[in-house]
Amino acid sequence: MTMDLIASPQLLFSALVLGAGYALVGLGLNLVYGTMRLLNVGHGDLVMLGAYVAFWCFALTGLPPPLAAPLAAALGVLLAEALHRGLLHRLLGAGAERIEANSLLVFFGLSIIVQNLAALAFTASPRALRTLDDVVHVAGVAMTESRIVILLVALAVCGGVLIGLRATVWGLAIKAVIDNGRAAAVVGVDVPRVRRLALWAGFAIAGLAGALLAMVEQIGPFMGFPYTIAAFVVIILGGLGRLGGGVVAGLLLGFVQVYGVALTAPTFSSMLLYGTFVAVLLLRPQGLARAARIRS
Amino acid sequence: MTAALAATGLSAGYGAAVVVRDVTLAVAPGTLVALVGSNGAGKSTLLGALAGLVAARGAVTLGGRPLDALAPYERVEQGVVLVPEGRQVFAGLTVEENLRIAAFAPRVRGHAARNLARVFERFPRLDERRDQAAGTLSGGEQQMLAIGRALMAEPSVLLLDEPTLSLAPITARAVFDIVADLRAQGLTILMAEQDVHRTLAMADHAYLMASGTIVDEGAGRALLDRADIKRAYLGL
Repeated sequence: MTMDLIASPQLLFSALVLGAGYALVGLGLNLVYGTMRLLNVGHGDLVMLGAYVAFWCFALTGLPPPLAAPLAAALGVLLAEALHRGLLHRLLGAGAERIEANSLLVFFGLSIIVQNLAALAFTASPRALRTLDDVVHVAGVAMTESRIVILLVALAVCGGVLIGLRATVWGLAIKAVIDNGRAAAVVGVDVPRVRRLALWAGFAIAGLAGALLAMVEQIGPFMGFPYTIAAFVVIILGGLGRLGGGVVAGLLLGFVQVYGVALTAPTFSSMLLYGTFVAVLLLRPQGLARAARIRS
Repeated sequence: MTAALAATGLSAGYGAAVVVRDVTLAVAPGTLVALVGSNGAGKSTLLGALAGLVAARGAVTLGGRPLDALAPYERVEQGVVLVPEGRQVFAGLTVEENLRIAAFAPRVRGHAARNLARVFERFPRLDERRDQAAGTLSGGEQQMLAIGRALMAEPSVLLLDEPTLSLAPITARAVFDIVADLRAQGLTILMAEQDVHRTLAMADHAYLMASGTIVDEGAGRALLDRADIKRAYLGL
């Protein structure tokens, strides 16, 4: 019975969809943390805002969420720029240790403000979208169109970002800043501009993820918190600043949660997510991948 | 002749701590100029200030053009490129990625492939290890990578900070050979180095630093022959 469950392609598909979503959300946080050392504990609220963009676009104009996703990403960029101009450039003047501690507090406060503003604007009642819910059968697996779209878009964006990081000069610059910001400045990288670009990308990806996940999640002002936790699990498990490792970790987290629920009960879903977070911090705070041996 | 790189009344430091005080120096085009002094003399801070990495007051010019207001990346764009103390390679990036990112400056971005080929020709060891993470290289290989990285930016003035620090003697000799070769090709170099004897022997000109100021200067060979320099820096 258990083996049948584990071998079920239906479960595999569900795990892939959830994992791809986590990978996408985690990728955004990883870009921001890796380049700027900002602990954005409000990252999930960007997912929430993206979900509301998709919801209102669909409710008011009938625009399907995949087409609203670029708008959600654009909102992420606008918020990133506003935050950078209003707050972050001052925060970035502090030393590295103070940046992490200060940003944690700043984003914690902002998260509460954003959630309550969303509750004021949209009420706290959860909402849901019914779109792209036709079922497609592939190799005995029943898939809704919305989940197929989430899986494909999430994997495409993650893959695109990872390829862009290797193949473009700006991508390499982001990797260099993540690896060693001072050395990046030494070799001529415009570090402030690269950080701003990464902030834009991180916020845009979170908004885009929210628009996609709006198709399968209940939308509400407080829906972001589990995604913040998931994103932190992803970047810790994958290795801080290791973007490829984070994508793998996101998929892994999806598998842990889906298979964990299947083997226990749906009520264990949150416990599995938060339990994984605690377990990773206790057992593998340096991430799954071993860092390259450094000779100095 | 206009100096390739010049500093006038340059003071630099970290926060309230002023490490370098009122330094004036000039590096003539195509010469190797040495900065010599004991640990804590301010050599690295001075090079950092010239590269724009350390807050500074005073004038810095490149070929007569002021650099003072320019950020580090803008100075690289102008041609002032630092090989920092401790190499500071991107440990998690491959050798090739380390080199390619050093062609970030718009002035050289279009020459990245050509410069990469030249660096690999100069340092075949790096070519052999092009797909290897830079953090797994030996100290000597990392120093070659740091120098190769600087060459990718086509420097008009190369700032070398302690290039033989923590290297085995045979590797240190190889690094000095590289520096001599770059000098012979006409590259302008300002080098801070602990190996006073070897550095003064090859330098066209040298500045002696102590407690953040320049206390003496002269032709490298001439300084090397002075009894007080031998006593102070060579223990002879």
